[in-house]
Amino acid sequence: MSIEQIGKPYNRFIAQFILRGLVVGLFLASVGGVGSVNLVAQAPDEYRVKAAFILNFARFVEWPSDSFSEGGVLVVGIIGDNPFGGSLDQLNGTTINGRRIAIRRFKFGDYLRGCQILFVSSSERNRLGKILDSVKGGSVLTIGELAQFNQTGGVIKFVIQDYKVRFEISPGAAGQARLRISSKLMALSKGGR
Amino acid sequence: MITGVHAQEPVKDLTGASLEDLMNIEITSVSKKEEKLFQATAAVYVITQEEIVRSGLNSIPDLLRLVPGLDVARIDGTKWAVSSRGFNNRFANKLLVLIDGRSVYTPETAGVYWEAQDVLLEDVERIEVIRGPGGTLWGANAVNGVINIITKHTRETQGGLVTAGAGSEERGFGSVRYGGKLSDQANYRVYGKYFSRRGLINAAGVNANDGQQAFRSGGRVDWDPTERDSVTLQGELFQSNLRETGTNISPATPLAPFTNKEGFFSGGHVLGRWTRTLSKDSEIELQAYYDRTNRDVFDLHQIIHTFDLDFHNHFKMGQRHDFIWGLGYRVISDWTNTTSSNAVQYNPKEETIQLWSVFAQDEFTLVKDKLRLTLGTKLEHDDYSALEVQPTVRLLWTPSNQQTIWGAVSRAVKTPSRRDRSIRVNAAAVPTAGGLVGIISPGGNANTRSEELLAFELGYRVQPARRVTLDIATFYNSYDRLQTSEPGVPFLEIDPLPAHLVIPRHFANLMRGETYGLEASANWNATHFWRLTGSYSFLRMHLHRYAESRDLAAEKPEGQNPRHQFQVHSLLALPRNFQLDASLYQVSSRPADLIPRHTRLDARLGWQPRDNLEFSFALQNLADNEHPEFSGIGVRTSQPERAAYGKLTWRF
Repeated sequence: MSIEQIGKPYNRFIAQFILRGLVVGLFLASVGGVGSVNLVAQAPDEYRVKAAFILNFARFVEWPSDSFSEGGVLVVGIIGDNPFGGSLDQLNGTTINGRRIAIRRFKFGDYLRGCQILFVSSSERNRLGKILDSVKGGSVLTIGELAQFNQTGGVIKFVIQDYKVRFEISPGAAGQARLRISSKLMALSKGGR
Repeated sequence: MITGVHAQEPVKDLTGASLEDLMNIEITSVSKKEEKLFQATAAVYVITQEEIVRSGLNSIPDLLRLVPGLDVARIDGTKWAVSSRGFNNRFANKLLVLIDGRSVYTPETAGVYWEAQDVLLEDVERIEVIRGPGGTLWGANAVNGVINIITKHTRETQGGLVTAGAGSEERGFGSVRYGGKLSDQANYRVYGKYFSRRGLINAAGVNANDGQQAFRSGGRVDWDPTERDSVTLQGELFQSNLRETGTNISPATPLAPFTNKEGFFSGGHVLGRWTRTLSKDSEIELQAYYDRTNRDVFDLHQIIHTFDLDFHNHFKMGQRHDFIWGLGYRVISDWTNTTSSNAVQYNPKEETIQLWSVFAQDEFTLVKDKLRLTLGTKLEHDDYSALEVQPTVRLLWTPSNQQTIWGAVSRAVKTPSRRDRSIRVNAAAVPTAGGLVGIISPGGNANTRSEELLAFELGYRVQPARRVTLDIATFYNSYDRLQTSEPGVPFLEIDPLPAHLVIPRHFANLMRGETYGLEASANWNATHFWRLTGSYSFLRMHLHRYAESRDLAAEKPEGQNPRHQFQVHSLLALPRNFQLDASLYQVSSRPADLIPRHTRLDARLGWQPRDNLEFSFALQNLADNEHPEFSGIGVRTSQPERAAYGKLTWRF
């Protein structure tokens, strides 16, 4: 068998493969393409889901009663670039455990210890340590997404696993901030079982 | 056609959802980074850290097998031929290869000594591969592709890592890395890596004794002295011993047989990079590195020093313009042990050359989120070629979030390397009529010109369903002034003795050619525990010697590159933290070298009993007992055979 002959059945196989691939591809592109509008619309974007998680964290975490000011309002702060679009702002005014949620924006250097929850945006990568240090001594549930968030002293870190939002809790950081995290939240966290 | 997407439209209010519900919601699967790739105006493929681990592959060139359309072939135990869109051989010279911004193709031949390139694979963030010309931003040699190996920021490599493994071909390998903090703003890592690779087997089925051992050690510091500045410093030293089988023809030993000899590589580099953010929309970067490579193998001993300085400025102008421009300077100084009795000689034996370049590119948004035009050019000058202009025009159309259509027309050049100008190889000895030994000696030509490419590319990416992406790239490349090797007038030479007749050949630029093809890849996240990826690529090469060319072998590369390549990978996560992964690669024949089509099948089982501990077991080349992948020049090729290894990865 010559080399040329070795190549031939393979070529035919490949030609058929391409042809089928193109047919399937075109079908997907035309029919599936239209369908995907729905698919994508049904798939909420990451930060809508994360905003809803933050609301749930508020539900399953207990703050020391002396930590509230502003007439018992639960302040959810965000520092740095806002990745949520309007999703977090939608929570403004929602009531959780009898407390009204207020969304506040902060920039580096602002007083942050008045927050009950503080979302530290990934834009603050270079200042993460300073930001987390500045809320020490207060009772702030810090939430972030940077890889080293919990190692740096953050309380809850979002991670994405198999296209789903998961979270890791640092019990040490929670304890330092005098936060009581419900066993249910602990159980659902990564590595919490 | 799809008219628009209503991704922002709230389908369901999530604020009332329970934690359990939220945990089951799948979010849009295209991340920001993927989105950026999805909207790239070039044929880009990224090998992720996950793919590196799960492929079970152990070397940089082998990992490049994962890239759709890239041609990767093992020549012997220590040599690879890697190319994109044709023209593959051991010194395939139309690729630009960078590791953390440092160019690693050798200025000697413009090819890559893959056996000398390695990194701690666990610390690689990604390997970005652009097929097609990248000459505008990246500079010379980025004719048919750019390979960019990027290691992780030291922030991401905190803590310890130990890997160790052994197997039939991979006799033993191991690495150690430790990362820590110098201050709140500065992180570091130090590492060492060792491997010992057994040789392959020769055509007779016997161990070819062409294995390799290598040790490298290095470190990196990333420091953010202010909120606007980041500084990176990194360096590495390596050394490697290898064995190879070759022949050294000289007039005194015209019948020199193939012998197995030891070779030696060593070298190191230091690199510094400073990035300053001038404003939200503007940054500057300055990078400098020095690299030294010492290569002492059977046919040549050489030492090459490279110093390189790069500056670029990236800024946005208004809402529509994303501008980048830069300057580059490089000086290369080499030394070879050339004597008249060596089979490979350089004349002059030492040389220093300088290279300057300037580039500018504007990404111009014509219609917001829909249509983007990129215009750019690079001007380059070195001591041996005239001013080279390498412009590109690229257009990107994103009719919807799920579809991208892009096209590009670019010019790129492959400037003459040291080899093209001043090498001489005593390639073969023949008896001549007068009874003298005749030495056939192909060699360089001081008047060698740049090879030129005009490339037309068209690509389409689509996400037909949330879990599926398809990427198709097509190209038509028109080359001119391709290198040929023309016969010269024989002459008598008496140094070295005995007197002999030299039958010279000289490089010339007497060929044009076209290549065309397509690369299609698909990724299907079938379920959250099973991912399937695959690709198919097609390539045709047509080369045409000019009428005055007398190089009868010039068109041979037409038949040295596989016409079809096909691969499929299955990544399966099993219960109890087991992973079962398999890869199938098929490469069609290289008829000009009598290399038949081959199939490669790899499998890997991984088990992570704890978050910081992993055991894996890999089987390679399961499909057949042995197969040749390439036919080299000047070396005796050998063949990969079935292999297995086990590996432990521990993080602390």
